[in-house]
Amino acid sequence: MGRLFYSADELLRRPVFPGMHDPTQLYFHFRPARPANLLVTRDPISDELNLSAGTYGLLSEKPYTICLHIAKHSYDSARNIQALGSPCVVALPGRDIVQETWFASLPIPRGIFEGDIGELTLLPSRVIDVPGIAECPVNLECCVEFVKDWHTHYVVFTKVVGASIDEKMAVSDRLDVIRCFPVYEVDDQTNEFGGAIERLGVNGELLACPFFPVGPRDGGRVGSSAWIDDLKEAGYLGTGAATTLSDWLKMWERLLQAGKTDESLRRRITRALELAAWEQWHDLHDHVTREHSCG
Amino acid sequence: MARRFFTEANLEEMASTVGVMQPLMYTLRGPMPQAFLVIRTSSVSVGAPTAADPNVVVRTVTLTPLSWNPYTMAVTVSLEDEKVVCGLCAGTECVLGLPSRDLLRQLTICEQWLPKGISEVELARLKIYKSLYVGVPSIGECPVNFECIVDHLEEYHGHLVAFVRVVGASINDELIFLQRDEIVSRYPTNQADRVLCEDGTVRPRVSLLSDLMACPTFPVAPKQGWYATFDIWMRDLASEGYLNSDEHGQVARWSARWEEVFADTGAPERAQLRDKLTHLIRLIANRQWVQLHAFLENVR
Repeated sequence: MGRLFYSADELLRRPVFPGMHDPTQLYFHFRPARPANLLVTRDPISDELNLSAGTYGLLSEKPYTICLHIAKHSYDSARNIQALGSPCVVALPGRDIVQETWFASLPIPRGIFEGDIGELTLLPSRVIDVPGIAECPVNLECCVEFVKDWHTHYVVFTKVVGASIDEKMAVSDRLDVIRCFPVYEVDDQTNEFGGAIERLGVNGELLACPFFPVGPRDGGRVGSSAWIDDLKEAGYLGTGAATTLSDWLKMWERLLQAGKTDESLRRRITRALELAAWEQWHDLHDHVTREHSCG
Repeated sequence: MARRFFTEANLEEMASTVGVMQPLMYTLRGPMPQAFLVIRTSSVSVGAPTAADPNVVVRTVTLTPLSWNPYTMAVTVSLEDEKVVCGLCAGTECVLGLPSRDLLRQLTICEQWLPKGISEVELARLKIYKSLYVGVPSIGECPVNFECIVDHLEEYHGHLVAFVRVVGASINDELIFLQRDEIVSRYPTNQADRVLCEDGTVRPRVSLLSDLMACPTFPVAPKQGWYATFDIWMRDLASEGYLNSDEHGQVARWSARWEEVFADTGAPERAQLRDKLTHLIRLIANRQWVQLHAFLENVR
């Protein structure tokens, strides 16, 4: 296995490898698929609705905040959410409205509602005065809290102040849900005129990650001491080994607080946690016992 | 179609459990693309990267795209995650490695808040290699690594949002000829949810894309794609015979007139023009060419 390196400039020029006929083949390796949304906003002049397609990312779960990145040539959306406090709905489209989602990207005159082109149904919101899209399984009612002019885009942070979900999706199994929505922007193919044909995708597989005893019972944020306690309680570590490991961790914390370090101790702890993370219990016991006896 | 509504307070409540949210919150959020964020907490490089470099920190994060030219992305970390926050300053370098389906254990390990100086690289048994454009190493097991500079930091609701600019990238050369549907079934993983098991343990789950669906193209869009303008789209339709020259002229006049009366929101002419343009575009979007010609003939 080798590695191919590209500079940022080379990436933007969409590099093609010898033998590669599709000019987008390599480029989209470097553009990971991202979840798509429909954004409903209101024109501050005409009060008319606008619908545009884009992608979103998560900022925080509590409060629920999301990041939008709006291209400056998406004039309507960019204008409609410039002001802090502007309301908007981030609607998550499903696989059954791919065509209608695409219609929201069409370059149509300001004031013509893209939702009318796809004959989408407006869903009254409960918290803000911008409606959602009834055909979307999830509608997030948002308020703009931060806008930054960022190169070719505006970066917009919004706080979700209300939400609604299609009842069917609310009670569906996770795999069924993610097979339905949200759709993701995946790549562009090339049409006969050299233009772009956008492709969307949906999730199809759900994989369980290894968890406890690979990490703490509660997930990753409780610290290594809690992980050791969990391992002891579940019988993966004997009392002696758990005590030794906890002592090592305490010593390490004390050293850090004093601005000191001890490479030998660092290696001991690292190796012990590594063996736990890979569930090599016999080796872990040997390691702790051997290192403990060495003092 | 019945719907369930949530207030902001409802959403806060559903997100309140430490480490795991109520299942509905994950449904309201959707799976998020993941990455391994690699930073170096000390500016002192130790030469060739080694797994034992305690200054290298790896954290599982989710990715948000920001712009394509320059290519920038955002990652968000909790302000309580001191180990990472200490290493994220404007101007510092970092790497974003895209995880594949073969790295599930490593994703779990790198979610942990290990003590400072204890390297996730060693715990996760990651192989690292020297990056070309930044001093922070890349991850050998990741199909793609982005080499980045932190351009901007923003504190937001207890989190640090880092805007990073891609200055280079590398890819495993065995992957470059794979078809897209195979690529998306391998990487990147998406953080799907965390499940609270009956014994109180929290199980993270990731998802991968499978089905790809092509959006419509010309004539249901300009030839170039959505980047073009309405006028270009109409010209494209005329050049390929979907609109004759009279029809094209009529549409162009409507478009021009619409611009003139746009601000006169109470004018009856504006309302009529809006209806006409909406109907026209809907007929084109649905490829109803016979109806389109009849419509343009009737409203002439």
